[in-house]
Amino acid sequence: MRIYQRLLLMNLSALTQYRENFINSMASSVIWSVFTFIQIILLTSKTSTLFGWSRNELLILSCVQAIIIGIFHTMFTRNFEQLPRLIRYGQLDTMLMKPLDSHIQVSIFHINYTSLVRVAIGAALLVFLLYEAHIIVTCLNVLLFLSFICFGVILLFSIWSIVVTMLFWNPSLSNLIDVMFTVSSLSKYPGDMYRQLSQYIFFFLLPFTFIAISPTKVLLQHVTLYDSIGLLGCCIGFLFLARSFWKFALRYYTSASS
Amino acid sequence: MRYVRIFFYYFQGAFAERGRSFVWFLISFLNPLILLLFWSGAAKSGATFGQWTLSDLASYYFLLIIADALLDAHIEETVARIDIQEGGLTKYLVQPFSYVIQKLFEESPWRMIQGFFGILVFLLFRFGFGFVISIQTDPSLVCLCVVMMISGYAMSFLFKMILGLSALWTTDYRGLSELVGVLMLIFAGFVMPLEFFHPILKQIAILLPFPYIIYFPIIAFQGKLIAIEMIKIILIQWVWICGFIIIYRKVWQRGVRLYTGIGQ
Repeated sequence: MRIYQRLLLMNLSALTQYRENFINSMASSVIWSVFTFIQIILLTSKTSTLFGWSRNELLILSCVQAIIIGIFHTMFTRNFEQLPRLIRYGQLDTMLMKPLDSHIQVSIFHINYTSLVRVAIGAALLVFLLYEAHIIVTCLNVLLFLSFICFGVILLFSIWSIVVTMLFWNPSLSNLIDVMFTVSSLSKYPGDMYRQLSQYIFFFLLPFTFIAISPTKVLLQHVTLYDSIGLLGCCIGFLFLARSFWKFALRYYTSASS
Repeated sequence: MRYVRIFFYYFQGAFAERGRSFVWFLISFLNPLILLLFWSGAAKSGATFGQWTLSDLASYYFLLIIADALLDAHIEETVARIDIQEGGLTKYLVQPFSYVIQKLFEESPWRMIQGFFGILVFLLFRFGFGFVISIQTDPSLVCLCVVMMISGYAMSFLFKMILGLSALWTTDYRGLSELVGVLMLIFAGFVMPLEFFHPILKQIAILLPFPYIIYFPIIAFQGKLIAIEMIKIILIQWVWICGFIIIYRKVWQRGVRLYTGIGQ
């Protein structure tokens, strides 16, 4: 925790040092958050419901997804973007020498504060939509929602970590990270949408359907045991898998110019 | 002949990195597929799409996969980051070849390889999975479609070159690039066909260059345009291309004076 506090401060000073970069990153965060909502508004202009989700509920879902993605991008994305370089140029050596878990180090070192804008925009719009839809949210709902958001972020982290760890075998495929941006957007649509695909593909996509849908259902007050256990189970399972895969992949790290 | 050799040199480079090309292609592939699932779900929920059928939409998104992979140039990243920010432009300035042509040869092989993946996927869905995908079959109209595609690529390439060169003034061009990226996603028809837009939004889209890069070539290939409409669109594309050439020349002439040669 002490180390993380130090990292927070270090990243904050970097943020104030490179102001132009800060403004640009802020602009792109705002643009992408706005796009997420415009996309749903455009898509729902032709249909009022989708697998039982009304237009308003779909917008609430995309707000929740924006919050989760915002937190995730703030805490982890920059670190995952750095990993191919660390592997390719042997810079991971430095991290392996330090008395802190290497998986944690590569995951938390860089913090992108500008992505918090996405969280703020998502949260503000979420409050507005809940108010418009006259949905009464209790304290218990809020607590459950926040814990589900945490589980969602951990699940997303685990999935990204598993994919990015594959780069130990082929660090030149660093653009896999760009694919993950697209893959993460799967979580902003109702899970039933993917049932149209074959069972095998649906099973593969299943974890993504829990990331934002379960917290959204908490707010809409129709969360089921399946949603809760699904999210929690996937979160624990994938985190375990990500950790084990990282440890396994480290055996194939051959240091400089691997 | 020298230019042919330069092209093959860049083609070799892009082919050696075909794994990366495939991963880039996955992005072009996944987005339309997700949207197709959305519309398929919407149709099941009772939505109607005017004169479009679900089969038309499927054709649209499958052609979008090819169009995105083949026509949407991504040269701005190399121009802005590697050439301008990191100083890579120097080597081009001392070579007796045009910078823009070298960049065209650098970018085109990537488009060709990704477009090839797109065509493979299209054929797989059409003949492997038996999807009904309606495309233009009249040979003379197909020729016009090809002209429209080439013009679309020329527009996209020149536009992205100008965008990349903007880094000569701004150094970090990401903010502008993201803004253009989002506008392109909306107005080039990546989210949905412009036909589904509100009439005012559609009018705005038609005034912008983006639909002429992706949307019109797709619907032309779908057989949704008649010959006269296609010729009109090709003429508009060439007006845009001329405009971009003029802007590019001005930007290059003024911008290159700001280049410091050791990275910005």
